[in-house]
Amino acid sequence: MDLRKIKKLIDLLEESNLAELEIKEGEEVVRLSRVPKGGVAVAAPAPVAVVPAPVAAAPAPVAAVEAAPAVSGLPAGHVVKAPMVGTFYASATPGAPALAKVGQQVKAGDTLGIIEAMKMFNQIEADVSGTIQAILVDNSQSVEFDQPMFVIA
Amino acid sequence: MQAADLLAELAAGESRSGVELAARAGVTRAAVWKQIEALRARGVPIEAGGSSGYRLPWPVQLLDAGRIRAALPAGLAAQLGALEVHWELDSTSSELQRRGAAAPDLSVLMAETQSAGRGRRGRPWLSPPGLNIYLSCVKRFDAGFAALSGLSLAIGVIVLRTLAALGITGAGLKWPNDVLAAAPGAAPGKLAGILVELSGEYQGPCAAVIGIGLNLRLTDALRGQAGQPTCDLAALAGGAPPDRNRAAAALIAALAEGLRQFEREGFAAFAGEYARHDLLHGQSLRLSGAGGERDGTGAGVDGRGALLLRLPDGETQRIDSADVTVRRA
Repeated sequence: MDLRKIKKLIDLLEESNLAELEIKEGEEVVRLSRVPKGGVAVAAPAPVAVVPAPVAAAPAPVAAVEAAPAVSGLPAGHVVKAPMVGTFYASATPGAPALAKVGQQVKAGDTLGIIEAMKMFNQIEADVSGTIQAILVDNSQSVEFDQPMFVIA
Repeated sequence: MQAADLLAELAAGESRSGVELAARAGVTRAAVWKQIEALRARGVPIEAGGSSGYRLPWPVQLLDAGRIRAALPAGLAAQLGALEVHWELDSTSSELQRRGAAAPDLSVLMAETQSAGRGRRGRPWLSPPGLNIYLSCVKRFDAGFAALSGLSLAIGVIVLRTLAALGITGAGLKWPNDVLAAAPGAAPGKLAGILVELSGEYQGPCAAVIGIGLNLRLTDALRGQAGQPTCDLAALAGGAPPDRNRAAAALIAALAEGLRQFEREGFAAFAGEYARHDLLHGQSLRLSGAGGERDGTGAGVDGRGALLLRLPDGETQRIDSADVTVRRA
């Protein structure tokens, strides 16, 4: 079962009044259930074959952006989360100005920062347009998978 | 007269007079001199060869897409999305990224020279024409970033496979993927640099743009500019590097085969080869990064390609991101 299919299932669950949805396909089982706060979490006991260890430990299919921040004390808005473990860089090159600042207007697709792990570089892009309300990571800080990084509203 | 044409005239390594070069190109000798100086400024060691003549200290092969294709294993060229050789790009990886979705899977871009060749964190990658290989390749994956764990290490193994195909052994890997080698009587230096840049959906279709710079022939001046110990294939092969088109074909073949293997089997398919060439295993290391400095001993890599560091208290830490130096006793 590929991730696009799982994403579709999540959308289905979100649009419905169901609390839980379980799909069997051959030997693969995916069970989705709603968490009380309104987000959706995968509670799949069977490992999803295509996703290796780092994600399986903390499955969160809507990882990149969640509407309601789970961390209290954050300004309201979209939370952009870390898609991978690594080191966060605020600028494209050392000494260059930060790619994103609080109060800055951004468009979807704008680069907010960079995460590096094992010399693989990933540009963190805004996936919504708006104003940056908060930046929750410092330059050169290590980030965990799914860690909130930016709030955009 | 373009710099590319002039380099082609000099490629055989024989002395050519300014008068002859000017006549062949239909330009003035001053125009020839200007282009000679431009090539020298880019790092090409053009010597004054006798009375108002010019020559290279050794022959060079200019990159030629047709010759590279012809040197690929049968059927492999058909699997490439594109195979382009440019005289100059700012950076082969930047060009592939600008093309985005317009570049088919396994597109390969090469340039004789780069005006803004880059390594990690904006560090420059010296890119003189005619001497080395600067190549970028895009590989698309369906299953999101998590499936790419260890990709950058696997590329290091792919470069080692390329070297083996060219008859060159003895190179090793410094985590995550610096390719180091030592010429006889010299200290180890960087033979190849690899930069992997990811884009796309974290949990869906995504793309890796893989940039590789492979040193075939460095001059003393270039070594001085590199800012770190370097090595080149010429030194490892006893003076003359492999034919550039053949070396490019070997790298492209190893990439196409290795990336498909990575797509099917992940880093597991490369872990054994990585371990055999792991230069940090058992070494005293100092890591610097987000968490400050840490000392320990290299203990291989885990299944995702993270560095395993054995700490003085016996505990083992997994390291995803750090600058590593080997501590000399």
